[in-house]
Parts: sequence; structure tokens; C-alpha cells
Amino acid sequence: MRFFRLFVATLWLTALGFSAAPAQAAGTLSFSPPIWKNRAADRLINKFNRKDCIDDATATFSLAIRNAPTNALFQVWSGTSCDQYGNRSPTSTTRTCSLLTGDLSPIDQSVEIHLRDMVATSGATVDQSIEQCDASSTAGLQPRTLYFVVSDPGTNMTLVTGTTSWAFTYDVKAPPAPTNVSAFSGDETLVTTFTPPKGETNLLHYKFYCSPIGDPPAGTGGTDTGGSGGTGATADADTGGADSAGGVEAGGATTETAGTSGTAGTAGTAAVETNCHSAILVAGQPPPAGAIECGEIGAQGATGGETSPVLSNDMEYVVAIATEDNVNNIGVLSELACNIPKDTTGFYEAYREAGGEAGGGFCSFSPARNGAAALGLGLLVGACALLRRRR
Amino acid sequence: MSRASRTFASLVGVACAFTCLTAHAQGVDEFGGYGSKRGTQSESKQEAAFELRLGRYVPEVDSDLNSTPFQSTFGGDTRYMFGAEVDWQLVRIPHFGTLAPGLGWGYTKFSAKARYADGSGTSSSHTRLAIMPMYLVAVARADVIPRELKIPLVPYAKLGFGYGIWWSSDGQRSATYQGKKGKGASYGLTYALGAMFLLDVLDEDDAVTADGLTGINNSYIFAEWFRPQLDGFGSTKVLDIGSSSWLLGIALEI
Repeated sequence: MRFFRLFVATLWLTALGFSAAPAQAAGTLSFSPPIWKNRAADRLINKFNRKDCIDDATATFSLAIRNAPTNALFQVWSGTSCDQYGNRSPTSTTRTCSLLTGDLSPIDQSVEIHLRDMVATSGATVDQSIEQCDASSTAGLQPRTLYFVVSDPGTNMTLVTGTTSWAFTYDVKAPPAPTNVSAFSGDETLVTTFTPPKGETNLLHYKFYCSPIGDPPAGTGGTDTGGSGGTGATADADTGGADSAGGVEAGGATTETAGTSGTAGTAGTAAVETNCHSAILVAGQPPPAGAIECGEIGAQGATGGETSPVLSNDMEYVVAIATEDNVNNIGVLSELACNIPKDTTGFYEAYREAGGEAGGGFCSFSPARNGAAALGLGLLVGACALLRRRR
Repeated sequence: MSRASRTFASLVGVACAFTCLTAHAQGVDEFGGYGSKRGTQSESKQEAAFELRLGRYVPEVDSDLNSTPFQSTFGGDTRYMFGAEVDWQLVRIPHFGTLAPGLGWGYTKFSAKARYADGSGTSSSHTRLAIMPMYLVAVARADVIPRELKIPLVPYAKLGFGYGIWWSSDGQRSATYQGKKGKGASYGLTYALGAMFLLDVLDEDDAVTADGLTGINNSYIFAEWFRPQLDGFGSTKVLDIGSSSWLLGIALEI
């Protein structure tokens, strides 16, 4: 009997031991929504664009970690399925996650995360550098998730439950410009036609930039219209051309800002007219500050559009078009097109010149010339009276 | 089936539609509708009519002007208006039909490339005129004809007051001339004459089912001569956006 009780006690302890093993994951983790800096306050909390990345937007998460073993590892990862160790393992050839923080203590704390690291190439080592903003070669919104991982340093098993991940989307690739841009004359406007960029599904607007025709800035002989982004970290010298992704050139000079990506974009199309130049608009470069923002049109199905009536008639203008995507990335300028706005005669002007006097607004009242108004109203009143009598 | 046979069958069908409207017990059971609905015994109460309308609309803007700015700007192509109307059939006059106040709305738009002021051709910028005619009319529908004479045609007439707003734009901006906005309102009499073809005769059982299940008493297609005389009763300060044209539509009575 004694041996039997000992046997039962052993079984019970063993069972307890097995059931106690998962109790290691009895810790909990929760966090508050991130507080962002270097980022406009009116933007969505979990959707990011290229400007956010360039500006080094940084999120601060306040985390509450309870009942985690003191020897546990606390790390922040970015990627997909980072709660599975196989996607975090440094030896994995299919690693999909990047480690954003070093090993932290599993206690309540605030963690600062750089967006540049969050959007770095999956599985790469992050370094908060601006080049990581050029990592994405895919157009459109990309989904990704932050994981707050508290794990056993020996077994790599997760030790906490609760909300341990935060999903976000990003698009740090500016959309390419439209091609085959032509401009026609309107009344204080230019009317454009163009070919939309291919393969772009998240375009929001085409934005028009205008300037009076003029000599091009020095060193802008060639033009790139979008092109493929830089692929390396080695800065080289672009002579005349302009990078659409990452490369920032000043006035077409050959100097690039430190750390910008290397290879130039695909060569673009030359301006349609030989003499169609602007002193400030340069194809393949971001819209400059001095350009006239001369309107925008919705991108859905558009193959052309008219600028706002902000130009002067009988003066030659240059227009270039940049695309804006759903997260407000604005791409580089298209090739340039030129034309001269001219005075037109619209319907209302033609009507007034033909002797018409109507207009002034919906509420402007013009009395009837004859007594027909009274007749009409009388008919209505009579009809109403008839209806009432019949009832 | 030969072409002649099909034609004969069609003629028989049409003749039947016009003559075979006999009164039967009518209702809806678990298998659907049955009987004829043209008897008045079990038809649901009829209170309103709804119309969807589509037809030609050419405003008479150029009348009483020195030239033809509308024709010159927009050309002479046929333009269309779509619209809707709701009638509240308050009164049923025995052996005649219904009398109702009706409220209607329509919309049409004209667009063309604006011509250069110096006459050197047309620009790529568009000039536009949009018109939204509305009206309040008394509507008389003589549905005694299908009800008592068993002919599925309902003639009707409308008479009332029309009010329309219009606005013009050039390119992306509202039109102006010497500081005056290119938009305004016009008014005048509105009247119409038309005839509706009762679709219920094409499938009596479906019509009965529709009445029993949804309260739709009758469905029609119609043709109408529509005359919104929106000229401000002759005022020279009102854009004459009136029209006189034919339109087609579908109507439901519920």
C-alpha cells in the first residue's frame, strides 16, 4: 500500500510538472498605442509614407510586462510571423523578421522604435539609416507587423500572452510619373493628356506643376522619368540625370547628399518640344518649392486633365505632372510639356454677348414680364382646391 | 417555327393582351399569385405613382436672343435628360381614374470644347451648361380604360408650375461674365400629355403576386410629350431652359 501511495504521488507530481510547464507562459504583455514624433499629427497612426521614413519618424510604445521570468529576453521584431522562432532565428535561411532592439529586461518600460527600421528589408540588420527607406521595391501598401517578444533564452519559447503584436502598413516608394505628356491651350489653363504609369494600383491624384518657360537650370541636360530605384549604398556621381528614389541632387549638379542610394534611374524620355524648358521644373526630380501648384485631378481612370485657371493668357508655360499615391507620396516630375493659354468664349459669355441677361446666382429673382405667373399659380391653387373638394 | 407562324403567334398574343382581361378571383397563396388582379375586390390600396424618365431635352436658350449661343457652342446633337417623378394619388374619381399632385426632378448637362475668342478654332478646354428642371403638377390618369374597358392603356395629363436651376462652367471654374455668375433659376408652366401601357397584362399572375407581396398595383411603360416652359413667363432676365420633347419611362403604382 505504501508503494502504491508513493506511485500515485509520483504520478501526480509528474502530471503537475507537465501541467506546470505551460505555466511559464503565464506572463502577460500589453502596450499602449504608439506616440509618434517627427510625423504630422493628423496622419493615421499605423499607415506610413516615404516622407515619414525620410523624416525619421519614431514611435514610443509604453509596455506593461507582468509575471515574466527575470531571465527572459525581451526583444522587438518587425516582419511577418515573428512570434515563431524560425522566422527570427539568425541561422534561418528563410528569416522574415528583423530585430529592432537589443535584449531588454522583461519589465514595464517605454521602447522607442524608428520607422526606418520597421520598414527595412525583411530579415536584414537594421541601423536606422535613411537608405532603409529605399528598401522596398514593391509598389503599393505593404503590410508588416511589430512583435514584442518575451522569450526563454534557452528554449526560445514565448513566455507571455496578451496583445504582443502591432500591425501597420507602409508605402515608401513614390509612384512613377506619367509618360507621353502633352499640353494644349485652355483659357488661363493648360489641358494635358498623358499615359498613366503602368502597374500602379494605389494612385490618388495627378498633381500639376507649372512655370513660365525659361532656360533650364545648369547641368540638367538629361532627364529621368521615374526609373527604378537605387539598389546599393554606394554613392556615385550622376551626371545631369536625377534619381527618382533616394537620390537628391541640387539643381542638377553632380553632388549627392551623403548616404543616398547609388544607381541612377532608368533613362527617361526627352521633352516633347526642343525648347520646352523651365528654370525650376526638371523632369525626373521632385517638385521644387518655386513651382506653381496648378491643380490636381483624381487619378482613377484619368488620361488627361486641365490645370487650375491660375496662368496668364498669351504667355508660354511649362507643365509637368507628378503622381500622388494613397499615402500621399508624391513622385518625381514627368517630362515637360509646353503651350500658351488663350482666351476662349464659353457658353455663358456667348449667351451674354448675344443679349441674354440671366445669371447672378440661384437666388436671383426676375419678375415675370406678363400675367402668366398669376395664371400658373392660379391653376395650381385651383387644382389644390379641386383635390380638397373631392376628399 | 416559321417566321409567319411566329408573327401570327405574336399577333394572337397582343390581341389576347387587349381582350382577355376578364375578372377572376384574385389573391396570393403559398404557390404565388393567382387569378386576375384587375377586379377591384382584392387589389391592395393604391396611393402613389413613381416614374423614371429618360428623354430628349433641348433647351430653348436661343429664343429671343440676337444670335444662337447655345447652338453655336453645343451644336445640334440630341441631348438627353433623365428624371424621376412621384405622384400622391389622393383622389380616385369613379369611372375616370386618379387625380394627384406630383413632384418631378430631372437633370441634363451639355459640354463642348470652348472656342478661342479670336476665332482661331477650338481649345481643349470644355465649357458646360447643366440644367436641373423641377416641377409641381396636378396629374390626372384615366385608368378607367384598363379597369372597365379592359384595354391596357392609360392616358394622362399633367399641368403645373416648373422651376429649374442651371449653372455653367468653363474648364474647372464656374462661368462668370463681367462679375455676374453664370448660374440662375428659371420658372414657368409645365405640362405634359402621355399614355402608359399596362405591363400587368403580359403576366397576370406575376402582377398579382407583386401586388400581394410588395403592394405594387400596376407597372407601366409610358411615352410622354413633356413641355417645361421655363422661360420666366416671358422675362428677359431669365435663361429660357424650357424644352418641348418626347420622353420614355417606366412607372409603378403602389
